[in-house]
Amino acid sequence: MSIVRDRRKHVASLEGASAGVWGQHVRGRLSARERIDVLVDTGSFRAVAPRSTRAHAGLHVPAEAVIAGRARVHRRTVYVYAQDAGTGAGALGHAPATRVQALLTRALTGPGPVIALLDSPGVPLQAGAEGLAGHAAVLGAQAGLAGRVPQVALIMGPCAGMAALVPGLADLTFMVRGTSHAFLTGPEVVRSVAQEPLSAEALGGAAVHAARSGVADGVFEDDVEGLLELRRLCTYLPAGAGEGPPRVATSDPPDRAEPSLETLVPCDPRDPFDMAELVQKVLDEEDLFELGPEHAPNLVTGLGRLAGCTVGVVANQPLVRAGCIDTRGARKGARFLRFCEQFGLPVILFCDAPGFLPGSSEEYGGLIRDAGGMLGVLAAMRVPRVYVVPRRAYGGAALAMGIDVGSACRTLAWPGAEVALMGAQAAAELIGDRVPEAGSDGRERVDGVVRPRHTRREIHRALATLRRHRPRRRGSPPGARRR
Amino acid sequence: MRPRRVRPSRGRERVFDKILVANRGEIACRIMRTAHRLGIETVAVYSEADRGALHTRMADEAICIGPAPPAQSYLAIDAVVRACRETGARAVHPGYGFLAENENFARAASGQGIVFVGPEPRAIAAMGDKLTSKAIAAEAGVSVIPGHPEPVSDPQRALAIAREIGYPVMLKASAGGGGKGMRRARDDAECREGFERARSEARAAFGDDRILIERFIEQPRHVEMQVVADRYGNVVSLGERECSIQRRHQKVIEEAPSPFLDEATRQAMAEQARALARAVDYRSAGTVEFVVDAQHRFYFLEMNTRIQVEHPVTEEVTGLDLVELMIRVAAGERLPVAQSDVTMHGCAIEARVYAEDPAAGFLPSAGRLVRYRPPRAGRKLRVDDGVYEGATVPVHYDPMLAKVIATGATRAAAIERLQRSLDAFYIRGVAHNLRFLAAILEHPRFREGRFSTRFVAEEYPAGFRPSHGTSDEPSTLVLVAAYVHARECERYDGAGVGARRAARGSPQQHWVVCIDDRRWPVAVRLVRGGCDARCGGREVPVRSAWRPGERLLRGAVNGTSVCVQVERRGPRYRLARGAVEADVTVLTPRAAELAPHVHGGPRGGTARYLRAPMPGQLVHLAVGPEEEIRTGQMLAVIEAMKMEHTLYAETDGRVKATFLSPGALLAVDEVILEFE
Repeated sequence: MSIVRDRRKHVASLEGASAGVWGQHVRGRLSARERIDVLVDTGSFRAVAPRSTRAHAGLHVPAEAVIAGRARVHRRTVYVYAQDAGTGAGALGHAPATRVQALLTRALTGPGPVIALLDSPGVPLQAGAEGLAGHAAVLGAQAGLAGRVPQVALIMGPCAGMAALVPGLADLTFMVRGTSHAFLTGPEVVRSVAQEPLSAEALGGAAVHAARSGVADGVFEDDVEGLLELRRLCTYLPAGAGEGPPRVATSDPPDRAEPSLETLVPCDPRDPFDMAELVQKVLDEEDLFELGPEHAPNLVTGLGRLAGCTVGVVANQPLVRAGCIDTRGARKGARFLRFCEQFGLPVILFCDAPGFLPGSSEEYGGLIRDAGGMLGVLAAMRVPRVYVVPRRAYGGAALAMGIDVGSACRTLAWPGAEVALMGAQAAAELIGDRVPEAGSDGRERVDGVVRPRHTRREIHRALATLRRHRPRRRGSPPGARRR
Repeated sequence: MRPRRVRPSRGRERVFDKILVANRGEIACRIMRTAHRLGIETVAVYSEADRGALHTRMADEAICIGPAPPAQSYLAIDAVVRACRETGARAVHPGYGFLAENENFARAASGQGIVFVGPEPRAIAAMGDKLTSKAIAAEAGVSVIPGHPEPVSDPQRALAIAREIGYPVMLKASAGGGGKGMRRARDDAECREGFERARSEARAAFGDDRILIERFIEQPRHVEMQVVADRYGNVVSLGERECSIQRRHQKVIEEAPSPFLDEATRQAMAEQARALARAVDYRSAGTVEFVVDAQHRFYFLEMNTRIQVEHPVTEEVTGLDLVELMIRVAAGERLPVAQSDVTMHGCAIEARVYAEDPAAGFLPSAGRLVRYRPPRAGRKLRVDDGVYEGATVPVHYDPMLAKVIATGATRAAAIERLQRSLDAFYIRGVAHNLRFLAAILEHPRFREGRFSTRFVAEEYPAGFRPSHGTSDEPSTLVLVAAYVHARECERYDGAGVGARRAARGSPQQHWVVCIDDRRWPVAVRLVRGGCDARCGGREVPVRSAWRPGERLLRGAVNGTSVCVQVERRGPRYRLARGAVEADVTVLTPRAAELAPHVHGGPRGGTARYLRAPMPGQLVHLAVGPEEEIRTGQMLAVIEAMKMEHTLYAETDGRVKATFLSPGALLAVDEVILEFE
C-alpha cells in the first residue's frame, strides 16, 4: 500500500518537472536516464559525443531522443543506448541514429557488449523519411557488429514497425511483462487488413514473444528487475569474438561429486526425469541463466559457468514432449549454438533424445530443414563441445544434436546409457526378434563412461583437454583480437 | 543410533541371527541400526515404489514384497511372512503403523516359528479395541474419563448423568465423528439445550440420535507413559513424553519430560501405566496414552502396543535403547534394567520433518529430494531419517522425512539446539515444514510450556505461511542480505582478491535491502572474514566465511551465532532462518529510489481451472456446473497418501463445468473443474 501512496506523492511532486519522466512514471516505467542509472555501475556512464550537435534544418527528432554512451557493468565495459520516449518519442530520427551509429562503431574498438534499451512509440509521421534513413543507419551498423560483439536488446515499452528489426538483429532479446510490445505491423493495420481484432498485448506482448514466437529470450516483471538481470547477464558475456569466455571467481570445486545424480534416471525407461536438475548440479553454484525458458521448453538453452568460465548449455528436457526435437526446439538450439560459436563459448550438451517429434504439423513446419540447420551449426563448430548422455541418444535425433559429428567434441555416457539407432525394445518389436543387448552398438561412439556423481569433474576434464587441442580457426572475424 | 548409557550386550551370543524389519522409512533404518550393533543380520522388505529407498540399502538383504499400495505390500501379512521364510529371518520387527498392531500378523508369524518383536497377540487384541481397553484399564485401577458407558436418549436421564459426572460435560453422538453432534455443557441449562441440539444434529447426520455423555476436558494435554515389560513379570516405566503439539491429530513436536507434570502426577501416572501393563500381561515396549487437564488430572486414552514414532526422546533422557530392549525381551531375555536403575537426565525434544506444505493446509508433497542436507548429528543432536539426497518421496505412504532430536541440560537449551539444527536443515524438491517447526519453537506459549492439544489449531487456524520478518527493526536477515550481496558483487567485480585490500577493508558501500515494501539502507565495509555493517545508526559486525554459491551462511551477527539459508533466485535472494523466509532484493540507493515507481503490467487472470495438486483419487465434488462460489468455499476433496485433502476456492466466481466425478483417479495437474 505504501508504495502506491509513495507513487502518488511522487507523481504529484513531478508536476512541472520533466514531462518525459512524469509520463514514464505514471505508466510504471523509468525514464531513459534512470534506466541507465540502474543498469550500469554508479558513476561509470560516459556519453558519446555526437559528431555534430548542430540541428539540421527540417529535422523533427532531436538528438536527445536517445541517450548513448560507454559504461561499466560489474567493471566490464558495455556500450549502452536508451530511447527516451519523452523526447521526440525516442524515435531513431537522423540525429539520434547518428549517435547510436557512433556508439556501435566504438563498440568494436575496446570491445564490449552492446545493450539497447528500447522504448519508443515510433517515428512521428511527419518525420517518416528521416526515420527510414535513421533506422537504415542503425540497422546497418548493427548488422556489421553481428558475430563480433554480443548485442542485447531489452524492450521496455513499445517497439513497432521498423524499430522492431533492432531486436530482430540482436543476439539476445528480453522484454518487460505488461509494459512492452513488439511487432512489425501494429494492431490497427492487423485489424483492418487481416481482420484480426487483436490488442497490442495479444499481438506482440511479452507473453506472446516469450512462449509463442520465441523472439524474447526472457521476460522480467518490471524495469528494475529487468535491468538487474541484465547486469547479471553481463557477467556471462564475452567482450567480443575472440576475447574468450569471461571468468568469475568461484569457490565451487570443479571435482565436486554429486551422489544424488546416481538416482536421477528412473528405473522405468518410460518415466521422464528433470534434466534441469542435472544441468544445475553440474554447473558452478547450480546457476543457469536460462534463455528462452518458455519457448520450446523441450530444449533447454542457457548460460552457466564451469570452473568460473562461461559455458553454453543445451539440454533435451524429457519432462516436456519427452525431450523430442521439434521445429521450435531445433531453431532455438541452432540460434543459441551459433551464438556460442561466434563468441567462443564452450558448449555442454545434455542429450536425452528419443527422436524427433512425430506428426504432420512438424513435417509441414519444415522440421527437416530446422533439424538439419542445427546439425549444420554443430558440425561446423570449433568451440569445445562435451556431450553427456544420461540415458539414451537415438538415431537421427542424436545426430541432429551433433553427437559424433564435427570436431572438438567428446561424448560422455552414464552407465547403461544407449547411444544407438533406436531403443532396444523398439528394435525388437520392429524386427520381431528378442531384445538385442542394450547399447551394444553405441560403445564405440562414446569417449567415456562416467559415473553420474562425477559428471561435473569429467566434463571439466574433457573441456580442458579439448581446449588444449583446439583446432585453429580458419580465420577470425575482422577486427576481432587474436589470442 | 548412538547408545550413550545403554548396557553393552555383555558378550553374550547374538539374540537372533537374522531379523526382518517389516516397515519402511526412518523406523526401518532405526531398527536396523540397533540390530547391526547387536550383530544381527537384517532383512528389509520393500514395495515397488520403494526400490532403492534407504532402508533397502542399509539392510544386509532386501526383498520386494509387492506393488506400491500398502495393502498389497507392507500390509500384506502373507507376503511379509513369506519373506521371513525365504530369507530365513528368525524374528520380525514391525516398527510402527502398517502391521505393528495387527494381532493376525503376530499370530501368523508365531505360527511359522518366527518371533514377533512385540507384545503377545492377546495384549494387542485387548488394547486394540477402545471399549475393551477402557474396561480393562478401569479394572486395573487406571483413571478413565468419567462418563456413562451407555448411550442415552432421554433428556431427564441425561441431566442426571451429567450431574453425576460433574460439569463441564461433553455430549456427543454415539454414532458420530468429525465434530458433528458434539456439544459442550457447563451447567444444567446448557445440558438441556445442548442435548436436544446434539440429538437433532445426530439424527440428521447419522440417523441415530443416541448420545454419549462424558467429562469435558479443558485445555487437554497429551502425555504418554513409556513402559517395557518382559515375560518374567518385570515391568518398568521409562518416564513420560509430552506430545500435545499436534496438527490434525498428528504429533509434530514431542518432548521428555513434560514441562507440565509435577512429580506426584508423574509417579501416579507411571504407577497406573505399569498396572495396566501387568493387567494385560504385557511383554514388550508399549505406551500408555493419557489426556491431562489443566488441574493435572489425567485420564487413560489408549495403549499403543508398539514402538512409537517419538520414542527417541525417551531414549535420549534415559539412555536406553528401546529397540534393543524389545529385541531382547522378544528373545526371552530378562529386562536388563530394574525400575530403580532408570534415571532421567536433562531434556530431549523431537521435531518431525514432513514433506508437506504448511501454507496449503499441510498438504503432503511427494517427489524427488533434489537437495536433502540434514544437520550434522552429534553428541546432543540425533537425526533419525529414512531418505537421502536423490531419493524419491512416494505418494503412497506417510510423508515424514526425518526426526531431529535435540538434548540439553534444560528445556531451553534443548529448544535452542533444535532451532539451530533446523536452520541448517536444507531441503529442496519437495515442500517441507521446517519453517513451521521453527515457528512453534519460537512461540512464547511453547517456550513457557503453556499449550494444549489445540495449540496449532488456535495459533495457526488458517495454516502456516513463513513470515517475511515482522519487525521494522533491521533484522539479522537484512544484515546478512547486505553482506551476501556485497560479497557477490565483489567477486563479479573481480575485486577483493588482494591480501592488502582484504586487510584494509573495502571502501564503504551503500546498499538498500528490500523485503516486500520495507527497505533498510545498510552501509557495508567488507573486511576479512565478514563485514562491518551500519544500519539504523548502529554499527553491527557480521562475521562469516561464507562464499558465493554456498547454501548455508554460518557465522555471527553482532556476536550471536546464526545459520541462514541462502538461495539465489534471479535478481533476488531467498533467505530463510527460523520461522522467516523472505525474498530479498538488494539495490543501490539510486535503484531503490526508483524501484517504487515501476510496476509490470497486470498479470494473467486468475487460474481458470481447478487442478489436482497431487496424484490421488477424487472423493467428493462439492460444487456443480453454474454454481456460484465464494472465496474459501470447499470445492473438492481428494484422497492421497492415505489422507483426505480439501481444495478450496481461491476467489469468488462461478463454476463453468466439471469434468470428473467422485471415484476418478487423478494425475497431478489434472483438471477437475473449470471456472468462468
